[in-house]
Amino acid sequence: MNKKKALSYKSENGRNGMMKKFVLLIVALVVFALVGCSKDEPKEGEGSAEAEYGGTLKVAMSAQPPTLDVHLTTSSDAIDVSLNIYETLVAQNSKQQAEPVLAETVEKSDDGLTYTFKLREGVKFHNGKEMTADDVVASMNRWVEKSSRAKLLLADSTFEKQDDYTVVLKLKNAVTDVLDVMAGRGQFPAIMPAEILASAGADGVSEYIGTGPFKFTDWKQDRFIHLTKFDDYSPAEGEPDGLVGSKTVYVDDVEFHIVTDSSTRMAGVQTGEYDIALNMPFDSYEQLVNTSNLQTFSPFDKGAISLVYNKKSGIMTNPELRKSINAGIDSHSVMLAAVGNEKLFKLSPNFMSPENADWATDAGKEVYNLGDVEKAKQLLKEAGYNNEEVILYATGDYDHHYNSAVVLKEQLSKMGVNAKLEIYDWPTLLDKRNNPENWDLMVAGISYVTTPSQLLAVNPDWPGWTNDEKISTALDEIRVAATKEEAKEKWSDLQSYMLNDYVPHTQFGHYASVISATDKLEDLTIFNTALLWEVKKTK
Amino acid sequence: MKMYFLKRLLSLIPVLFIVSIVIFMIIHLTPGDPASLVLGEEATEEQIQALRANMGLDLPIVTQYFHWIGNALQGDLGTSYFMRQPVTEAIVSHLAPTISVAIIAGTISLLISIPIGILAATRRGTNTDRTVMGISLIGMSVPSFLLGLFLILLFGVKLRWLPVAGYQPITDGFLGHIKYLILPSIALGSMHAALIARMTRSSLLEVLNMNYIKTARSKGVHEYLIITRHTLRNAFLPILTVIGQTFGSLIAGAVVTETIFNIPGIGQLIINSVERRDYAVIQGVVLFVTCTYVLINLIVDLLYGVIDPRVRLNKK
Repeated sequence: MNKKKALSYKSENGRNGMMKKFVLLIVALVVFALVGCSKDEPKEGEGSAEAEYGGTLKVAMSAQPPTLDVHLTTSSDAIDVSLNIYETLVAQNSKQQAEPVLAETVEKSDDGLTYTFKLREGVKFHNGKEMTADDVVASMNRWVEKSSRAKLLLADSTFEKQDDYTVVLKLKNAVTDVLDVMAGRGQFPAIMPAEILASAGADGVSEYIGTGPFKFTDWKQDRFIHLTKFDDYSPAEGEPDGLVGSKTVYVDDVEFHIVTDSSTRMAGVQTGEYDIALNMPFDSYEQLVNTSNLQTFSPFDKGAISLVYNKKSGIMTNPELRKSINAGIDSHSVMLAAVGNEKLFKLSPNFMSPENADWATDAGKEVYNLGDVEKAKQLLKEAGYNNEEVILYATGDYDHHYNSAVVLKEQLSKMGVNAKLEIYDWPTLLDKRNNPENWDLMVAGISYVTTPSQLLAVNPDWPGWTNDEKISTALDEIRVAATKEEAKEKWSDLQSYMLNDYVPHTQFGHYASVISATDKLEDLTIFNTALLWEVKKTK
Repeated sequence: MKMYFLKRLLSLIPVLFIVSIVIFMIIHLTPGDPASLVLGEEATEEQIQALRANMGLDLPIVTQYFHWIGNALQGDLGTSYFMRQPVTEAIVSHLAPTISVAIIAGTISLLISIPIGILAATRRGTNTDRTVMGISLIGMSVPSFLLGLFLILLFGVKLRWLPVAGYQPITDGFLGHIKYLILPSIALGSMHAALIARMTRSSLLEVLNMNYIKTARSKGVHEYLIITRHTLRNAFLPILTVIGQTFGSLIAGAVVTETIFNIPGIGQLIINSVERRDYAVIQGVVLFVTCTYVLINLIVDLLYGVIDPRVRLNKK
């Protein structure tokens, strides 16, 4: 009994002690909350010092590239990094037009079958070797062999050395879009040293050496890719404009950090752990814009979201069915669900980028974004649709694809289409969509290209398998048109035909990418991605 | 004892063999392949097939398995299709962050859980007990990723005391190394602390009700000695089992926590490899994790004997 009393007394003491601790805990939490709510005031003297630029620029990217051998891959992550390491003979300016970079001049023969590239002299690779025609010939011929677009559009063309600083491209047909294809962003024709290419295996080069403003230094798998300022860089002449012109580097190093979680990228750029964060989530856009220490960009350079029809197998081979569905689609609802913010999408029937100075056209707008369910029902009936099951593919790995597919499925149901939505992870979708027997409809993101002939909507090999005599004939005519104006007019007619009659895709709309950077960076330019030359970071 | 140790090690062989077959079949029968992901979404079927052949993925699955298991028996787990480095190298480079997090999280959880578990047991039925049990219930219920996000928001974004994400190897400075791991370790450790605290309390209560404890008290033994010398040691076996299990799960990689704090550990490696269909790495990591679990369980079993002489294995 005495023992029990003693224990009981101890407990009372314990209770008093516990109360004190509890009160202390509450006080501590209140202090935390007050400190947390206080604004970050600038410290005295901050910003008054003379600006000195340099240091390490930390960029948070959402996925690790599979390789930096850009002849092999179309991965946009690989391109974001590689644009800083490699350069090309010609590249895109900010209006998406081709201009020389490593070439000094480009001359086209009268018959249009030969292009002569005079190379800039004294351009050095990161290994110290001077770039000559041998390197350019080896790089360009490998690109023609490896790049799916070059293979399709420049097949049988060859690059030959004329002298150490002159390279000649010989074409089989006098097509006019050669330079635009060469200036394309995806799987771009990077110039690498010939000996590096000679030693490359089937899985790509083992060293990443180019002529760009940054040289590859280190790759810590799943952590970061480290680039260093290339001191012997030879910039092209002219004002910086997109990927062309001079490129002055103000930072010492760049680290591309692999940060797969979007909330971590967001917290990282808010706290200054990263200077730039790519691929920010759409639903954080307003929060990012309203964060005082951030600059947030939403350039319309990513691409479009589309409904792809399987034209090789199944009931969607019937163009009347495709037209029926196209008539019933309300693109505004789909895009709003996809990106969740009116500021981040544009409704436009353009298959090309609406920003493209050469090719943008709204031809065919009369059948775009109609959202006419009754008309769709009527057309479906006339096309002989009899409630057959329609398989709709989408990936759950990209929110905007998934959200589009869910709304689309609802719209299809209202039209009376018996659609079955099948969601897969990205690698599974890549695999399954290659079999035309598997699916009828697919939601896909379509990246921008530099010429209509590179569009996936006209590609006979890409899933969806466009196969139409009139389209291929029109594309050939566009490619050999005498003038740009004539080519654009023909493209306008073709886009109208594609939207009104063939309907390879139904385009929902164009969407922006969201990129945030700390406000400590000056002169940051966004062109598809954050360009890391010209940007200044105070040390 | 030695025989027992050897037997346990030998028992690993059938376990690893079965695991290797199951994991090999599951990942190879799952749609998608590394070639499509390396080449990107616009690659042609012809290009994909050429790279598949180069990777050896066009061979019959049984042939692929025997190639792989043959090399694995010689210590070669293959080469990552995506990272283009030996799998063993990839595992080693991703293991260091995981071990660091496991040690710090484990230490935090033990430092919190054992004392508060003892406190709750010795103050059974009081407000202290109820508070400890309440907090531990919350600790067990709140997922580590949610706690991680709160910690990032408070200590990273608001207070700016600690970095929100990333990893710095210990070779680049000890303080920097620790600074990056504090938040993820708290996020992980708190859940485990809650579990161990509850286990400590219940295990201790069971022993505290035994007659020999009552005898000790009636003899006037000091309460401190009763707890440390007579109770804790006898109550420690189930606690040790839980500690072993939680440490094993930490070494296996805390997938979500590593993703949120962007720590390039084993958890991230396996999740990335699944997304990339990097078969060689998935197989290698699963085998590694299996071995780790079995070995940690073996160590825990051997420690039983150290703590409690009644379960020493060489006694007949």
